[in-house]
Amino acid sequence: MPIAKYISACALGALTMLGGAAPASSHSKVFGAPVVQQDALVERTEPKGYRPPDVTTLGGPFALTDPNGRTVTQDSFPGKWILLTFGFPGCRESCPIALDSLSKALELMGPEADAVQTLFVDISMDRKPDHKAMAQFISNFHESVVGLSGTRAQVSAMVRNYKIRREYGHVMVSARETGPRIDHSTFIFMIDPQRRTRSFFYHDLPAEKMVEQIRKTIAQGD
Amino acid sequence: MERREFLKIGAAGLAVAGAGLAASPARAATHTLELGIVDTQVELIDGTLVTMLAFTKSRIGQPSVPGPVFRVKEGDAVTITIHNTRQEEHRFEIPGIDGAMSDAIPPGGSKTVSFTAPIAGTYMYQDGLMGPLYRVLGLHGVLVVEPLDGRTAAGSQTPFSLDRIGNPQAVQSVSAIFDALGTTERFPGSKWVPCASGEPYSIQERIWVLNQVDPRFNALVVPGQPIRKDAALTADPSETWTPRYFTINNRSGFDLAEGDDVIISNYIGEPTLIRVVNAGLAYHSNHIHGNHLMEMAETSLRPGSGFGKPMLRANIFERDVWSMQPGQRKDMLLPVEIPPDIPLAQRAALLSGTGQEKLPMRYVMHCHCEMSNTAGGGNYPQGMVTHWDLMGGVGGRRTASL
Repeated sequence: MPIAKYISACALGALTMLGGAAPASSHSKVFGAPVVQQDALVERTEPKGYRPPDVTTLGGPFALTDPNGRTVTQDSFPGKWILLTFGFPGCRESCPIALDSLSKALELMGPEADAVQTLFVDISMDRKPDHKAMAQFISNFHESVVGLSGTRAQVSAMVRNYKIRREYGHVMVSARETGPRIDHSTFIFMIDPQRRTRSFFYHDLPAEKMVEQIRKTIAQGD
Repeated sequence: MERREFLKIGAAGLAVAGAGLAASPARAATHTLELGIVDTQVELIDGTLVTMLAFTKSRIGQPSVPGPVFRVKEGDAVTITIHNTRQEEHRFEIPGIDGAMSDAIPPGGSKTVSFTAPIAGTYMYQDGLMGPLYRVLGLHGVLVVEPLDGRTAAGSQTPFSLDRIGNPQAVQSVSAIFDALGTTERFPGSKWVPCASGEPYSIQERIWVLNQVDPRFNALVVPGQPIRKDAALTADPSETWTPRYFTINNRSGFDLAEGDDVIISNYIGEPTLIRVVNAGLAYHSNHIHGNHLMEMAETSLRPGSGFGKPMLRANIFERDVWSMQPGQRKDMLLPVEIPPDIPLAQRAALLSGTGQEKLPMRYVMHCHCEMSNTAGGGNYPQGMVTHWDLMGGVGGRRTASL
C-alpha cells in the first residue's frame, strides 16, 4: 500500500475508533490528529488578533504633582480638553518625538490651542520623583506643556487606568539616554472637558496630522 | 566522644592529610543568636502598602523580609532565641536540621532552640505554623552552614562538606567543577572564594530568596492584633493563593534592577554561587541568559527523615532554566565564563574590545512562569526579573579583593 493511502486509512480507522467522528476528507494525508472538514467549522463571531482597548474604558481621576510641587488633578483645567501622554524625562527617543510634534501642533493651531492642555506624565519607577529633571526636560517644548510626576501609587493607578505598558529594559544604559531605559506605550490620549477619554493617536504622527486628529475629536463635541 | 569533638578531629585529620595544606585545627564555635517576630509595613513596586510578618535580628531590631542571613560552620553549636512580639502564637523551625524546631511561642513570649550545625548547605528558617501561611507572609530567612574544610583533594575550596557526603560520584562531580575553575581554558580566572563569615553576600556568593505576595492575605494581618480569620481564604492557602507580586529578596519588577544583594557584576573568571531558596507557595522557573549555571545541590522534599536536607548532585547539569518548588533550595554556580553565544572566532576580539560585541554586557534573569511575567500587565512590572553584568575580561578586578 502506498504510504499516503496507508496514512489516510490509519486516520480513518482512528476516527472510526473515536466513536463515529466525521471521516477524513479523501484528499488529506492525516497523521496523528483528526481532520475537521472546512464546512464543519463554526463561523467565528469574535474578531481575531489584537484590538485596541475601548477608548471609553480608559482613564479616571488622577492626582499628580508639577515640578513646582503643585497638585494637579483632572479638575485643574476646567473647560479644556486634555492631551495626555506618558514617558520619562531621561527618554531620548519617543518622548521628545511626541512632545516636539505636539509642540508644533500647538503652534499650528494658534488661538485654538487655548482649548487644550498638554500633560506629560512621568512613568519612571524611582521611589522619589525627580522634579528637577522633569522641569529641565519639559523646558525644551511648548511653554504650555505641563510635566507631572507622582508617588508610585499615584502613577501606578494612572498607568492601570490608561492600560499603559511600561517595562524596565535590562540593558546597559544607552548613550542616547540618561538613566535607565524604560520601554513604554506612547499613545497621546484626548480627554474631553467632562473628563471622558475620547480618542488616542500615535506619538509619531506629523504635527499636521496631529492637528487634524485634535480638531476632528473636538468637533465631535464634548 | 561528642559529635562536635568528632568533627573537630575529623576536620583536623583531613587538613593534615590534605597534601600539605595549612593545618589549623578547626574548633566548633558557639553562636548565640536572637530573632524577633513583628509585623511591618512594606511598599510594593506599584506603591501598594501591605502588612507583612517579619523577623528582626534581635528582640527589637529592624524588621526585614527575608530575615537576617546567618552563617555558621558545620559542627558549631547554635542557639537561637526567638521573641514573639505579636498577639498570637508563632513557631520557629529549620527544615533539614534535627532539633531546630521550637514549641509554640506564645504572644509576648520567647523560646530557644539549640542544635549542632549539620553538613554544609543552604537552609531556610521559617515559621511553620498555619501551614505555609506565616512563611509566605514574611517569616522566613536563610541559614548558611559552611563546611569545616570543604576543599577538594586538589585543594579547591567548595561550599560543601565533601568529607561527609556519602556519595563518591557526587564528590567527584563537584570536585571536577571546582578544580576546573581558574585552571582550564573554559574557566580561566579565579577559584571560587567563599563569603566572609558574618556577611550576607559577597562578590562570589549571592542569596536569592524567592517569594510571592497575595495582598488579600496580607490584608488579614492587622498590626498589633492576631491575624484576622477568613476560613474561605486560609483553610487551604495552597488552593486560594493567587499571588500578584513575585519577588526576590522581597523586591519585584523595576526594584530588582538594582541592589548588590541580587545583581551580580563580575568579570570573566569570577565564578559565583547563587543560593536560591523558594519561600513562597508558587513554583518558579528561573531562566538566566549569558551563561549556563551548574546545579550543584538541591533539597530533598520527599517526606521522611531526609526531608529538608541538602543533597549534592552526582550528575551536575548545566541549566539555563531551573525549577524551584515551594520550599526548594538550590545551590547554583554561575561560572561567569565567556558567554557561549559569542562565536569562538570572536572571543579574542571581545576581550580586546575590538569586536562587534562590547563589554560590559548585561544579561537578564527572569522567571518563566507566566503569572510572574504578566502580573500587573506588560512584561514583569510586578514579576521576578533581574539581570547580571559581565563587566570585563579576566583579571579586571584584583583577585585580592574577592
